[in-house]
Amino acid sequence: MSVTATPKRAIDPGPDNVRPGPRPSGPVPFLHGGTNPPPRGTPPLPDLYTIVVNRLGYGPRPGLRAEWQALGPNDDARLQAWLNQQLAHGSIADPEYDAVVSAAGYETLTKTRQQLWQQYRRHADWQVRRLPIWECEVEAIVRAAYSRKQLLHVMTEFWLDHFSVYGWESNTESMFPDWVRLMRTHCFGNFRDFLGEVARHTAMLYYLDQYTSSAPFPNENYARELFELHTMGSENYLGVLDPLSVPDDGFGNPIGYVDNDVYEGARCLAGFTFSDSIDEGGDTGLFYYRDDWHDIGTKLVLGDILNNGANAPEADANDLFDLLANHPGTGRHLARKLCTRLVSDDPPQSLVDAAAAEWNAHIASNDQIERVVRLIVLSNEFKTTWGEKVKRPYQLLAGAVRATSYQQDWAVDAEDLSSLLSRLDQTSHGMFNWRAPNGYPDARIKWESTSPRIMTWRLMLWLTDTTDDVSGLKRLNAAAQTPPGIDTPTELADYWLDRILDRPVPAEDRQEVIDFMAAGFNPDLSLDLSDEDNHDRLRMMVGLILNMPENLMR
Amino acid sequence: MPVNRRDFVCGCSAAIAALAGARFNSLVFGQPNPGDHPILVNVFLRGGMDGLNFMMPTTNGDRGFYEAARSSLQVPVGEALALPGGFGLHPSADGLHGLFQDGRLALVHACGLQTVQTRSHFDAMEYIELGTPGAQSISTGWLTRHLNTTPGLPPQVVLPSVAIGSLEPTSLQGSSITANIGDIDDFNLDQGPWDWRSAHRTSLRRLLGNGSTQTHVRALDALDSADIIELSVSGGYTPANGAQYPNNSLGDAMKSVAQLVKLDLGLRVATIDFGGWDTHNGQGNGSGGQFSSLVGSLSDAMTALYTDLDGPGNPNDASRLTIVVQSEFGRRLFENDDDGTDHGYGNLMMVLGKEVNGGQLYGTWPGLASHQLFEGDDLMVTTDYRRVMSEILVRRFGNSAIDTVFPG
Repeated sequence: MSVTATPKRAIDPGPDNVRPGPRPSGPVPFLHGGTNPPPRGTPPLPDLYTIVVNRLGYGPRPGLRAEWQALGPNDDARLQAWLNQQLAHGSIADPEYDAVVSAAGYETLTKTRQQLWQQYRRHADWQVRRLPIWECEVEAIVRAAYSRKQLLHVMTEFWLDHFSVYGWESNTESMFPDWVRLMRTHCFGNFRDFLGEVARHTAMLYYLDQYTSSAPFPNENYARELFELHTMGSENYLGVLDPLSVPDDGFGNPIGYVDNDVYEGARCLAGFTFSDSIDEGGDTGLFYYRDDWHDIGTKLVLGDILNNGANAPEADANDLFDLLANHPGTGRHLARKLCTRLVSDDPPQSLVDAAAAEWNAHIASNDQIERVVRLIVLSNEFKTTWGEKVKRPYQLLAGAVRATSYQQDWAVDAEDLSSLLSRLDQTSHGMFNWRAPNGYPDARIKWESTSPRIMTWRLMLWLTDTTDDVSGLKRLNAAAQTPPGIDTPTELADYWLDRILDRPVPAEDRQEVIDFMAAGFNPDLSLDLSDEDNHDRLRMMVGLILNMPENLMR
Repeated sequence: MPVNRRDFVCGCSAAIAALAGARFNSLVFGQPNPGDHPILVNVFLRGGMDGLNFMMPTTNGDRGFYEAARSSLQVPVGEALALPGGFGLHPSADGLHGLFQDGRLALVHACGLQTVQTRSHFDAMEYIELGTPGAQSISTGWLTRHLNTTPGLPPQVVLPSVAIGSLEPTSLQGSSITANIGDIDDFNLDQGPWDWRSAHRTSLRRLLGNGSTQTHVRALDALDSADIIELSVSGGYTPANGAQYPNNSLGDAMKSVAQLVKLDLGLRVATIDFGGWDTHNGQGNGSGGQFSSLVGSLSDAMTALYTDLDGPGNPNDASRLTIVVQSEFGRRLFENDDDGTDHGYGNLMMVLGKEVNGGQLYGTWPGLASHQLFEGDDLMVTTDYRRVMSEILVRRFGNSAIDTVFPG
């Protein structure tokens, strides 16, 4: 191929790719080689496509930008169309994901709760008992990497963090497919409905000890996290106060909750368990209410007196869920968490307020959560914020698979898969592996600390050099993935920067990647990529792009 | 290398805060050799460690209250390891009991958040680790501010602070000089096609230097840390003096601290997280159950670290060391119906080191009679945890900037 001084692939972003940023405004000279770098600390605002695929999905894939462009005449129209598509996820055909799942041969993911309990939880072989969570673990990566229902999965991940359950213990490992399904089913729905289902799920009942809680000294573990993490949030916790001393918010609600509310909540919940071999409900693992464990006395919760008395199964708990779901503090807490996930670690208060207002205005709607997500995604803040968050290791892994077409057999017992998963564990972001009930942190300050950063870099580099024993080929087969005719260091750098980041990069970054690939030689001389050493260098260049800061931001 | 890490802002406040030294004058240290800088290891027991079963009344007047409240969880008098004052130590803490008898371990009664009450794990941990009970608005952790104000910390210290664990704790938040290390043997970029690893590292460093966003800056800090650790740690590690670390993550963490101390990289502060203490059910009593195995791990790992560092030389590494152990709160005096305990309030703290005036119980035991309990349920807090920390900072590190470390 000819030696050329300029790259064949122009780095012209096109009119839609240069969006006016909040600071600096106007065209972004940085993109064109930069005599005028942005102020310290502020990454330039990329185009809306980049924001959408990295914050509402798991990163670019070949062909995705063209699909985006076809969605409408301008970015606002495209975002509307994209969001409508993603929210109507039942209508999205998902052939690639379906094919990978089918080839992997998962057997537990479609089982019902009772089937999971009876066929897996009750099995004598621990490997069979654990198979459901192994399949969930791998399927989570497959879904993020291959599914076209990207927003559905982003929101499922949000709720798995919000209602965090540690997956790797006896009564959760077998039930996890049904738990993930619960998150996916309700992730755009009504919060009150969602809360009631979560409270009755075997995984949650077990994880926070509710399943053995009985009067007169109920276990407080679940009740406390129900208030503090699942609904009102610690910002509405007033500590150890007399409940009668808590002021009213002017609308008939106490301004927050106190320890007594937690104790009374635990009394409301006593008797919530699941049915196993000793219960009249049979050995099903299904939700079971034991009236003989319940405390029928009067309760005082959030200023309301609950006097359901005897013969009112689950009434106290349902009242409790109503009080919590209807409290405006719950709307504020969830609105902030959603804005934090979708926009910025420190989202503008105006956006949080708008999201909370939408939440509280649709407290009884079946699409309550969907409405709030829609409001956040269509906000100006969403479109004008970039780089205030970093990708967590799981997203970086899924993004690497997406962008490089990493060839892995995703059956749970496939070669090298356990090695990949243990390396993901080392990043601190292994699947369903967070032990405390507050869920994986959604804060850059944690994920930018040295251990997750180094371990994620290592994982990316490991991906560049694994070999499929059967085919003898590298799984990240960069040579085969590079179109014919692209073979100079300059061309290779431009091609892979564009494939992985799918947007223009600062000129000095591009030059650095070219220099790496040129390794001291003329960057515009062709390389023979069938040469093993050249392919090694190319795969390491792909690793360098995966590891560069531009790929870490979202 | 080694890498010149950072210029420190050295503390110059002359005022010793009223907090410091007011209460624990007896928890004195010997005079450290000026050339031999001290090392603070902060072990945080995540989940709310049940101090009332770690150190329980055995023969004093509170035994009756203890037994009445804990009919199934009580540690029998005959199993407890004897301490002064009619108290006993959990039978699985035999290593720590030996260090207590040797005068190396001090136990402090009823510590915690004295100025604010919360039974939330996450609020309590944030308050303690930020060093601002009742507020969560400060951007740095208390240990970060301690490092920033430690007098005499030379600007070219290679590795002044490490956080052993998967994610950086809040106590070291905002510190660009802290290496947060999970598995020390894998803390490197030694992956990918072999011939190009070095070039990748060089190019990555340049790419990180190309920008000034927080992502660039913090990633560069991480790469610095990897360079330091990878260059320093090679060929594995053999503990000294026959020290036997337990074969678990806590044992590995303690071993990594010993290794880093001996590498002489200038280590001042290390943190270790040890979770699993949220024993709402199936806690177990004296010799059995999950609490017993947690106590055993903690005791064995601390004993191994002390033994490992207590080698030849005077002063030796153990005399540079102060290990302080705390949890976010204690647990309720009264057991629940699940053979567990729910969130409580006051809790013991432990301080271990060769220069610690150990073998004694410090602080005020508030008692277990109903009127002596917080809210009628929990051990009261009689000593603010900041007093214990302040004494260590002032006496051991000569850091008098207590108002900066613990503002307000």
